[in-house]
Amino acid sequence: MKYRQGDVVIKKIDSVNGQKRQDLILAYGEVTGHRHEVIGKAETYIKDGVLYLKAEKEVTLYHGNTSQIERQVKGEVLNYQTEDVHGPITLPAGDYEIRIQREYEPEGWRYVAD
Amino acid sequence: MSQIEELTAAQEQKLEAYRDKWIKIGLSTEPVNKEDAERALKDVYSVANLKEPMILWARSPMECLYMGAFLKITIKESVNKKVDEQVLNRVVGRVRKQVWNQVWNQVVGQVSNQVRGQVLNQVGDKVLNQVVDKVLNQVGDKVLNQVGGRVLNQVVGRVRKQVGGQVSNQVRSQVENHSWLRVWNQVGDKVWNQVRGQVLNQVRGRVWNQVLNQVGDKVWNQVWDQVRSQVGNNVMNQVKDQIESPVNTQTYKQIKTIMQDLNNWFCFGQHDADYLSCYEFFKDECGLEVCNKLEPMMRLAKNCHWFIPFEGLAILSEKPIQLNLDAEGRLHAEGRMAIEYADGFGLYRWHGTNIPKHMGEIKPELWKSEWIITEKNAEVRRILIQGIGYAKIARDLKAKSVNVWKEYELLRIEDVDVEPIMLIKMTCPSTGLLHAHRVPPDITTCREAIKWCNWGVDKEEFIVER
Repeated sequence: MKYRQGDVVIKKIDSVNGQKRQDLILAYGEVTGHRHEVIGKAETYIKDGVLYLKAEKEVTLYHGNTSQIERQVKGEVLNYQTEDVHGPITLPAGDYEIRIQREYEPEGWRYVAD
Repeated sequence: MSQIEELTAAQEQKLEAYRDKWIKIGLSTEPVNKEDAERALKDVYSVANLKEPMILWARSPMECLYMGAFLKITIKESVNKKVDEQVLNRVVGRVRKQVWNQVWNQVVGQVSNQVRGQVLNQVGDKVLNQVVDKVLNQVGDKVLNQVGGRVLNQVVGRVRKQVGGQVSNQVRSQVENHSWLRVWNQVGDKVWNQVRGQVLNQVRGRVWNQVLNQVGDKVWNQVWDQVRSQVGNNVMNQVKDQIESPVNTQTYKQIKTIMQDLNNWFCFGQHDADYLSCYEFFKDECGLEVCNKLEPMMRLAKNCHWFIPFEGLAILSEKPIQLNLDAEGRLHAEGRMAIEYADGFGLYRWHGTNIPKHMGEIKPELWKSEWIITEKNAEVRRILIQGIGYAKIARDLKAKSVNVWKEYELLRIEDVDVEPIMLIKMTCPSTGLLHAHRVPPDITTCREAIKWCNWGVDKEEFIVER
């Protein structure tokens, strides 16, 4: 099972390992101040530069700034175009690999940054 | 006094007036009345049982930080610098530790424990939400005792949240989230040099001796006099040289660390509008006398932007000289800064998104299509596409359409880079906005291109895309 929220690609995998991280933020946009954040009972791990998510129960991945995420958690449906955010994604309990989209440069590739 | 369980119809009618008044205060760019601000700040200190501070003015929060760092490093450097070994050994041995640990740390310690604690309130953001304020907590608790939950919800919901939504969430958080480190890396030298003159004039010209003598307390006076009399102008001149030529990396690093530190002590002045709006309502409309303690903070908010309170000294920033918002209340301007201060510091923003100076300072009609090739940030590229128009970019860059699939298009651009540039045009399923990512030159179809960007996941494999 695969999901995508903006530049965040989420793949269901069998199991998660790596070093546990302290937050549930999957990506942060430097120029927008928007983040992709998981709300729910979950943990994130990192191994060899790749991020993993372990969701104990169904969780939701939100995108936006603090107040936009708060409003969505409360059930508000944002005007995604004017507020420039990606809609929420519900992820069933399970383990996931998180990848940021990449783009090409003559020297190789780089992660898409926003 | 019994709890206020319900607002009267007359009180309720006034909620919107408080909301509007404080949004206006929070977003005001009117020049500050420095006299009023200084009086208000002294009253704030007085409420917190602190002695009257000496006040320095900066033209922006950035300058506040620089001035704070300047003072701190000047004082530290003057003691640390190895100018006259003999004198220094004497001074350092006896005084350095005293100066640094006892004086500055004492000031710092008191600032964080007392001033910061007492002057600030729960400003509700990551930087300062831990602040426990004696004065404000007192007020807060008493207000809670005197106001029923329903009334509180009403006032908070109809005044504070509205004010916060427009002032704190949009403007303050934008200034706050702006990384001063990035600014430092980009314009460190320039800003420092600009600021230097200003700081030197204010600090050295007007109040230099006072700063050195008055900041802090008795220990400070004693120690500093001692240091100064022994080390004399020699050191001061050397320090000045060092500060004025920030090629010294160590000094740089110190300044950086100090600024990072000081950044956590900001109070927000006019940007504290959200909670002050509620307290003023309770004070003036519900007669909650305990809120009178915050009256100086309310006056200060009208005539002051961000500030850093120390014991005995405060650095206040003037308001921005311009502030431009879009219909959604986000910082936005075309061809100029969205928020600009008198010292030239400011932020270029496109509907709340940080854009580089070369884009921000000119109107989008003048943006260049080539920038889409050189810009590394996907969101900024998205703004370029929006501002210039996809068709015009394709035309200007003589892009050839190689493949079209669903809403995607693969473009090939020759003669711009070391190899042909392949761009995949995509449409965001949530916002409907166009994006473009560069893909390897050997890719020939949209589907392949998307799969490459998504680490081998084919478009059709996604259960959900947002």
